[in-house]
Amino acid sequence: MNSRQHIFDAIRRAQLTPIDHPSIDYSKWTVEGQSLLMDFQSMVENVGGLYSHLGQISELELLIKTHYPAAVNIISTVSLNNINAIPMDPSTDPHLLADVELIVMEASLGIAENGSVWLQDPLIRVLPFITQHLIVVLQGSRVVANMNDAYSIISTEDFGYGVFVSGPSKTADIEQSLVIGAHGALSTRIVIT
Amino acid sequence: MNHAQTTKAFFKDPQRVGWHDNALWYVRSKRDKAANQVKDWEYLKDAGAAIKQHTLAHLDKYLQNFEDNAQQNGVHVHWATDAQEHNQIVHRILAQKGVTRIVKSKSMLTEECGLNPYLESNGIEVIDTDLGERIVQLAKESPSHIVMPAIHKKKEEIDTLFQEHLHTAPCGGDPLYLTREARKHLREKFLNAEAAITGVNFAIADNGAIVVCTNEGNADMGVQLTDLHIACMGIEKVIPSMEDLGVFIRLLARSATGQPITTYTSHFIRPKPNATMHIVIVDNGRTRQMARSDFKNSLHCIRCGACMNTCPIYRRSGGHSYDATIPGPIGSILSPGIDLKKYSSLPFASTLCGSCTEVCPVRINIHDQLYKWRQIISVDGNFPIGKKVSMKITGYILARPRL
Repeated sequence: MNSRQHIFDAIRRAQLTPIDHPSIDYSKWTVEGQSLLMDFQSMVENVGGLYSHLGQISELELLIKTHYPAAVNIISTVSLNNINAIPMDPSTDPHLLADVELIVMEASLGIAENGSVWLQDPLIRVLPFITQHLIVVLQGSRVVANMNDAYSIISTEDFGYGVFVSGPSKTADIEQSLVIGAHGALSTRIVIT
Repeated sequence: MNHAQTTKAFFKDPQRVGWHDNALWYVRSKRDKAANQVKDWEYLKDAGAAIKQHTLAHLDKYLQNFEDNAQQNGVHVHWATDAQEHNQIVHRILAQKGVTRIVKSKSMLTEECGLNPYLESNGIEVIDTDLGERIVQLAKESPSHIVMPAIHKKKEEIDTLFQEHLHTAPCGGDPLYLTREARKHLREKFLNAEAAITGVNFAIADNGAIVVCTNEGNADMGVQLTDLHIACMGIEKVIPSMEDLGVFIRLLARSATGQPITTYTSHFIRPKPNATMHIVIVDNGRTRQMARSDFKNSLHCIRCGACMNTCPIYRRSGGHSYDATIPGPIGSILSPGIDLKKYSSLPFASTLCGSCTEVCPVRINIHDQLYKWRQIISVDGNFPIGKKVSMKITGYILARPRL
């Protein structure tokens, strides 16, 4: 008998009493009068992220020049006119991205309860991790209250890979001392437009 | 093993016991704060418990759905009845591609199966990439906690360890310096690895996705820089849908470390172009636990570690005293199911205060189950030695009311 069959037989032998999937009242978690964008901002800062609000997307270049003056190796999925970004091709060997200093990419969702943003099928999957610094551009109207709301949107979409990113990479594995910058980005900035 | 004996090494240094106790209580306090910030947190726990109960009762259906969908996504699915078969499958996949260098992100299942020594004995370099796991790997120890593997180690010890293995400068245990050095050391390993192994926090029946949560970004640094991803999971990791996942993602990090979510919550559905993805689904005693009506809901566990952080015994005895992959209260109800004779002392390593049950995000009645194991152990005569003597004395006193 093969292992798969063996495991399924053992599960069926256990004969657990069938019980329905719970009907969950998602409205229980709705907070009346919540300002999604204000809560989102405070959670982004809470998880160690940086937060900027732009009047218009054209101000992005100034923001990059102001906050990342030394960055040379920049990749951006948002078109930049006066900054020399490295052109991106999905077939690029991800190992060649080891020296990327700044990546600018767009998110389709932000989550107010935890300051995370949803990156779906990035052009190259390693981008948001391998970069030293990450900028994520998000429309303010795309912030939802919590993960339940987020998954009700995401579950209708077709994608191969997606990641919620909440702040910069971090660790507290040495005596519970929080250190920002573990293996992923050393800083993460959310730019709201 | 006997818990009363295995704690002795830890007790030798009373200052360390107090330090360990405080470090974990700090994490427990952060968990309380995070939980209190969520409206209707208790209802969230109810939802998590009910979804798990439903899933376990229909596990065959959900595993079947998960397998079908994963295969449709172009993922290879394997089944292993026990640890040995799991290790053989992983090794076979690596050997077919001639892989000799792998990076691994945290997986308690591969710890349980002893995957690292198995692969190493077959000539494969295995690098644990979670900082805490790398620390214990360099120290040739096992994780003492499922979320914070090196919680028992002092920063000065890590300083010395890194000087020896990573040739760092003495730094008085500066966590920032040590973390940056580990980042450099592990970046090189990521860039040179040929395959990545990850655990699985959740597997979604509906779409065949596996979800991995990390703070460091190590799972993705491994997977996205190699062409071969092997994910290892126990059969109990499957949940029905993405909607259900929302409930567990909201519960997991808050219960574990007091964060509102881990930094990265990665959803792997299809392999990237020109890459291969395998999922190994493992029983290794889980169906046996499932068949025990008093203990089956221990399989609801989402491995947050909250029961450890709150346990007055765990905090004062350290994870290694449990001599098992999963220590603490949840480990003390899982381990006797694996080997009742060996672990008969663990259900007694508890005050039955119920704090573990109180914090559990999926409402496992841990302290009730500890009590139930005690009853089984006393009927079977499997008492740990110390307990046998004290029970005899108690019996002697009770039999002589005038004493």
